[in-house]
Amino acid sequence: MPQPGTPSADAGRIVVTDLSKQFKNVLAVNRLSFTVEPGSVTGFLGPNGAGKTTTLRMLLGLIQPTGGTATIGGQRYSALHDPLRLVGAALEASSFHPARTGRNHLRIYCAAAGLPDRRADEVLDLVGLGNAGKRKVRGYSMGMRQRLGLAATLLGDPRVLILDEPANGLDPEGIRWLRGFFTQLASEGRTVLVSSHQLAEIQAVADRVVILNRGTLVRSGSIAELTAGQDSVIVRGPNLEPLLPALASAGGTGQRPDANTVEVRGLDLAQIGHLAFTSNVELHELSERRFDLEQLFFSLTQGEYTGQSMGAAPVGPMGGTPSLGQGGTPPAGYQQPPGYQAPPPGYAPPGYAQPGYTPEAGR
Amino acid sequence: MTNLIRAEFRKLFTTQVWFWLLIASLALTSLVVIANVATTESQFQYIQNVSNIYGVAGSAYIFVLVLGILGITAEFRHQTITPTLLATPSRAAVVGSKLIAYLLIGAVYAAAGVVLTLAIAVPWLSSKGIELNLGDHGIPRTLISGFIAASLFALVGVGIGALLTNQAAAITLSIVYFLVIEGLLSIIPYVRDAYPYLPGGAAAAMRVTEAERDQEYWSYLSPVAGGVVLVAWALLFSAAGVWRMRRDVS
Repeated sequence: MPQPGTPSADAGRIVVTDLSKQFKNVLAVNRLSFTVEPGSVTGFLGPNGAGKTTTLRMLLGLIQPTGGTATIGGQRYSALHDPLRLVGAALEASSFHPARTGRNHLRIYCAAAGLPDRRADEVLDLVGLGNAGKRKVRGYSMGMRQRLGLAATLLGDPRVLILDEPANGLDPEGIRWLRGFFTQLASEGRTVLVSSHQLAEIQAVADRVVILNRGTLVRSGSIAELTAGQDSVIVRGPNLEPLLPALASAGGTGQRPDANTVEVRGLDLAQIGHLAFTSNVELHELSERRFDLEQLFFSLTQGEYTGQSMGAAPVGPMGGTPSLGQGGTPPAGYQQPPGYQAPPPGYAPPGYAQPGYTPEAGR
Repeated sequence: MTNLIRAEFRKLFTTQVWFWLLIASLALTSLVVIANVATTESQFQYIQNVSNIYGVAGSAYIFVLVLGILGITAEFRHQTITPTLLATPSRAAVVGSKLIAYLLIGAVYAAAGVVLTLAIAVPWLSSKGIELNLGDHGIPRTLISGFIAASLFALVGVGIGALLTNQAAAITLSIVYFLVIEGLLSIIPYVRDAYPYLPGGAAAAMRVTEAERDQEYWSYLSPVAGGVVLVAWALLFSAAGVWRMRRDVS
């Protein structure tokens, strides 16, 4: 049995190569390639319908890929000799017979994998279900079911954990527990691949992310790398016009979500505060905006839903056009849709829009 | 494989389905035996009635069939098929272990039916002054082949369950087939020539007495051939189910 933490080459590495899945009319996953390294928590992100669950199910041999391969420790799941001792996976929170107790559920897989029955009690204690093991799953809360699913993944003390939406239905206490649980698992040298919508949670626990949209890879890499240099400063005031040239000449770039606000990149709080002081500009807000995973996620996936890259086009040095950050004029020949009303000057779509950043597919 | 069979037993005995189906099976068996013994008043009627009184398979098989169907469709209904396949990626091993486990459990059901049958029939018929001659009139053969036929229906159930996977559909279709459709097929000209080779016809071949073997339009197979045909059907269904499960399970 491979001990987690012993660096036996790529025993715990997940490699997905050129993976595709064509359902009847839908190309759910399209030539997807990524690698998940041992000893790290990797977040697997994407909007609903991006192909996350399909990918995980292909990785686990539950769905046959149309093309490409997915391997764990160099082998396809179906070729693994003793799968539960290498891989623990929890896919849906409802894979239990309601009339069976949690403990008996686990003991079934102990028997199937040739593990001692005491493992069932050990993992129940590990996930904090020690007292509920003898109750029927029918009476479990959503959070308890999630914990039971996690307990099942730990039966074989596997070095690879694959979890689909494990935070669903957990209360804040459960989420905090889950966070510590992931960190612990990764520090033991295990590979943890966890899909989630809960981006803040992923940011708190994951070292790396794989971001998927419409079945294709949008980005993968470490969170630190992907969000580097993207922090910005929000500047608000009644009349910011005199400040703009000063910001531009000091090397700042940015955009104007509205007439009274500028979002600046490339300068820090002190620099901007000083420029405002010397330009004699009244400020109502000067605050730092940390670029987090949620913003990265939306900046990479949102365009797919709005249909156009509103406000996401690169914006040049400040002080140029007054229409800073408005997405520019429509190209020649463009016809406004019926009922279209031109937005008022200074209008920008609500929500976050990120300049200077163009998603590159397939990187 | 031993581990997988042990896992199957655990799946079955950690819910209560097995118990209620066993009760139902024994209840129907006793009803059938009681009805036939009650109308048996003479030695002649007794000999006429041997296959009805001692043919355990005639009543127990439907419950063994349902048990086998539930053994695999419950996994799909409650999505436990996912952890099952995660523990055992080989679909053939999963279905194979279920076939073996449920054959053993089906045998226990059938044996319970045999014991109950004898427990009701022997004292009651004796009290009516009928000579039982349990070693004669083809009674041992009826009991043994009935026991085997009922047991084998566990295989048929697992096979049908593996093929259809939808619990309600599998139970409804198979019950309607065995109780209604096959009876209809057995009276349609030309089609009825094939009846002895259908699952129900093959099972009946194991239940009937030597005197009942030749019917007006067809002859039942020999008991052994009937058993072989029944097992062949079960394995055919199972193989088709394994082939189906090789594709997407979700």
